[in-house]
Amino acid sequence: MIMARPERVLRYAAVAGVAVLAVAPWMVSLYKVHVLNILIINIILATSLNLVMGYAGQFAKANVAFMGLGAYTMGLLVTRADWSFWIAWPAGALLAAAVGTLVALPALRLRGLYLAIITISFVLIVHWSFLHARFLTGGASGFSVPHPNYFGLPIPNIQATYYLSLLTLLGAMWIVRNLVASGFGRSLLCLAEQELVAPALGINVFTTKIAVFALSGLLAGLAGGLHAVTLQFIDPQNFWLLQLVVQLCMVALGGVASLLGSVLGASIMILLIEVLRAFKGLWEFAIGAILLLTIVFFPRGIAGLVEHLFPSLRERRHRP
Amino acid sequence: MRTHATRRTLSVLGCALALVAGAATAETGVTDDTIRIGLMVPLTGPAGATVGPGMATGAKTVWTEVNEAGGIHGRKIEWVEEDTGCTAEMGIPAVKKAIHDHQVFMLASGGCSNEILSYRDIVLENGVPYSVWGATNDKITQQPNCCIFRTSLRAGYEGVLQADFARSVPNAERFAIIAQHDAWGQAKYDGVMNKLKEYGITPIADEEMTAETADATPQALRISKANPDVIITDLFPKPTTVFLRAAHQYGLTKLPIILHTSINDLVQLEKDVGIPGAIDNAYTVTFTRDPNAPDLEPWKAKLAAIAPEIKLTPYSMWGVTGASVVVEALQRAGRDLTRESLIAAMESIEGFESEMIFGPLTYSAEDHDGNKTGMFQKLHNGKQVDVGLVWKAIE
Amino acid sequence: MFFDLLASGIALGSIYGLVALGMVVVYKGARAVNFAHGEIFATAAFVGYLLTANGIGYWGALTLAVLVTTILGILIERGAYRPLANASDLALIIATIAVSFMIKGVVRTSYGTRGDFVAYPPIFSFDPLIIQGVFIQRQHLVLGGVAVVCMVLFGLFFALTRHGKMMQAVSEDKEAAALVGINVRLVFLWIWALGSLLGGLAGVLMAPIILVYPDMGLSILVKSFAAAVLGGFDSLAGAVIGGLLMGIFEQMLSGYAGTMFQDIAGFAVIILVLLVRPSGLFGSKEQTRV
Repeated sequence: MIMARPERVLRYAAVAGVAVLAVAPWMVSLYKVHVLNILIINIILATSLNLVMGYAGQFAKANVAFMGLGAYTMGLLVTRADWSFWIAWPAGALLAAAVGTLVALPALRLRGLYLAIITISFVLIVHWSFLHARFLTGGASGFSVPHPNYFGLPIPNIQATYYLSLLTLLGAMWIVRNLVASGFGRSLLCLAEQELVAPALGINVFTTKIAVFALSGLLAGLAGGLHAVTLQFIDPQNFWLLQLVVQLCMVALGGVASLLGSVLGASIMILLIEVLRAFKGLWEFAIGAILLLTIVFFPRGIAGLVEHLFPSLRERRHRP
Repeated sequence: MRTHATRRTLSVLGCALALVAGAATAETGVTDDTIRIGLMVPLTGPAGATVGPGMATGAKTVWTEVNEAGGIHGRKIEWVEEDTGCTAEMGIPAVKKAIHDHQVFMLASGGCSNEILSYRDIVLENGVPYSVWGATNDKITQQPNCCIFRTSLRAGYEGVLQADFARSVPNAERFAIIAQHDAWGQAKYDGVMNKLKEYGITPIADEEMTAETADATPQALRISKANPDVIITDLFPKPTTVFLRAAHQYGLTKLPIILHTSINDLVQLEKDVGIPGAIDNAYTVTFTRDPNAPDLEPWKAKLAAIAPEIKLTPYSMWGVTGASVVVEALQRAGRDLTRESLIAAMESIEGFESEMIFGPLTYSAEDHDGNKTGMFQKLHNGKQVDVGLVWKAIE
Repeated sequence: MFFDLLASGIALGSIYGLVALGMVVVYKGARAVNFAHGEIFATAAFVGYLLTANGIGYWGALTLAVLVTTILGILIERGAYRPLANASDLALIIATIAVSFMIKGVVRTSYGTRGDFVAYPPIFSFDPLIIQGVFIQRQHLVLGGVAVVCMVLFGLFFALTRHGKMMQAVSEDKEAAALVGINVRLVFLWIWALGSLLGGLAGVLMAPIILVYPDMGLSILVKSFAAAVLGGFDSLAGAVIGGLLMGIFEQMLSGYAGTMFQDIAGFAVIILVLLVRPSGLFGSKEQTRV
């Protein structure tokens, strides 16, 4: 057999994908650069949600709030306090991570639908606060955010922001990949599969949950900051239920507890949304139909299908 | 503040550069026999789906007529429709697609304020002329601004009209306001509040409702308890209906209630509210005329020929008005059409009349808000009648 | 003011309760959280509107609209639920979300450009009843009455009838139920049909109050879902009581603390209640799946 091993194919595909993304800004129109940039940011978001929902098996949906907190903190520090983006951005992400640890506390007691609704309530309250803290956020009208200062980097701002997103994505993937394969990853696995037995196996449920929510919050916060400088605009509309549903769809469509799944799910969702623009009112029907067919035929997402075809690609983790 | 100033300078510079570059070569989006316009309309999303199709159909009606009559200086208008979804997330890629992929000559329509605010800098940096027909936020046309023009009433100005009208009600001393605090409502709310503040007035009730509120009893109760003389509302037609029903229960509809430009069909409103007498004292400010006026009758058939289900609503009327202004500017710009010449032509428009609106549009280099004419109307014996800009008893 | 707010809270709460009831029935019988439920009642309201606008009387429109949503429920069971019967809960939730997108797309397209909304003719005029100085809309009385009657009927159905017991058995253990000769598939079909019937009924009854527009599903659904979780999600009485609490709290807080809190009040309560009672007010401990 001369057939290449699937792992190697996957690795080549990943390298090729990154290479394509790296040269894309110079090959396509600014519109497509924008779409690709949003796509990259959404992969980070899907990864962040997948960490909590897929790997740790916690049905929590607070991601959109973390993203919003990251975006608003960064945006307000830059426009109101004249902070540099390079300090404001991580500050926003750290705040999102800190809030993430707070959200982890109810997750210690609540499960399933109850955890879902308490986190959805949290998202709605954060959205409401963005809307009503007018003295700080400008309320519903939102505000513009300048490009980060790229210190005379000889490429245009739009492309520079694109590369910043790409680098962040690669960093996030590297961290999550290593983490999942580590002892921490095995704790997560155990948490998702057998939460009640976990303590007996010497797993500290408390710290594991806190850590995974904090990391998820950090990634979503970073993505929120990137989202804001890509749109150059922040308003509360971007951090509401619809985004939550879209991110949920990304994870489910791509595949739960799978890095490959996050990448595929986010890419497909974002490209679909853009391609289906032409369908106008039927946009919703089309995206619904595609989602339904995918989930009916591949209940474990597209990554599930890939792993089914090539069992050796299965990540070392639990079955969702 | 400093960053804002630099950005503004940059965008003006960008405008200038784009204009120079545009003049040197054949103009983007213009061929020997076509002019390509990006029709930016919200077609999806809660706020967008009702606004966009009306505006788009109004525009297509006007432009189809122009094209059938031979076009403008030998060129026909072709349009590419992009869905802005009324959000930054959908609007920014839509406008980038129109500018960079469709290579349009100019942009037109625009749905919601926030969507336009989010991509305003992109339009300015690329120096693309943009005729905005519905969005009202003051910042959209703020100077310096190379290329964005508006045909609708600016929200701040509409607020001034509402506040002045409220003050003109005899013996009115206590004012109540109820508004949506979303992107749409906030601009109008700020306009009213700023004007009232100028007069040293603090509303005795300042209530909030969302577009989705299913029951307005708390709002009506709180306003009723405050015992106002006049009520100013900045609510979409649907919450207006919900509010008026609750307000009627507590006797508030005996007071003058002031509505706004998105409600211009009071006959329809009375039907929707479904309670006789509930809008007897409602006054709406509008810049579009009564859609039931007999002389506008032919437009209903014309719109229906383009899209059967489109009626003469504020939205389609905005579309007709805006598209006519674009045609006028293209006419004035002449055969040697460039973005620069179009902008100059637009700024030269003075006293442009349309049968859809009350007052003429006048632009200048310093003022891109062409529309300064509002009119208060109320329902009288089943007909919508003009009241003027100050309150008067209609007999 | 207190009694006015209380009355309007109960009125609003019965909307949430009736919608929540439909979701809980499907959950109790088929162990599925149906996020397409919002689109089901929106469809009923829209279909009912189209029928009344074309001259069909109130009751005829109501019957036909409910029939349409019942069929819709059966289609969802066949197209989305049955193929995923053995898949994860997340897959099932996503399937119902996908269905909701599809229905909303169709409703929006056929809604066309009727404006921001359309008004649905009420059974009674909007003249309120005035009881001890408190205004009560007749339409709200109907809604509240129907919610309580449905709650009792379904409660009795699950507890007493052979079919109801069968459904309970099936939802608890599919394989065992099949072994003792229960036609599991038919039972699920019934459950989805009944849940959607309830959704359709809720849609038509609340349409005159909340008005009809393509996006009417989302905000009511989220609040009703929250109400159902507040009540315990597998409890019929919990759904109605959760809905009422949600409605009353919303109106009270916005009446006394400020109308800006109306939209968020219910969710603040949910957080507080769940922190104290992790399985809702009336939920059984071991029911939480997903």
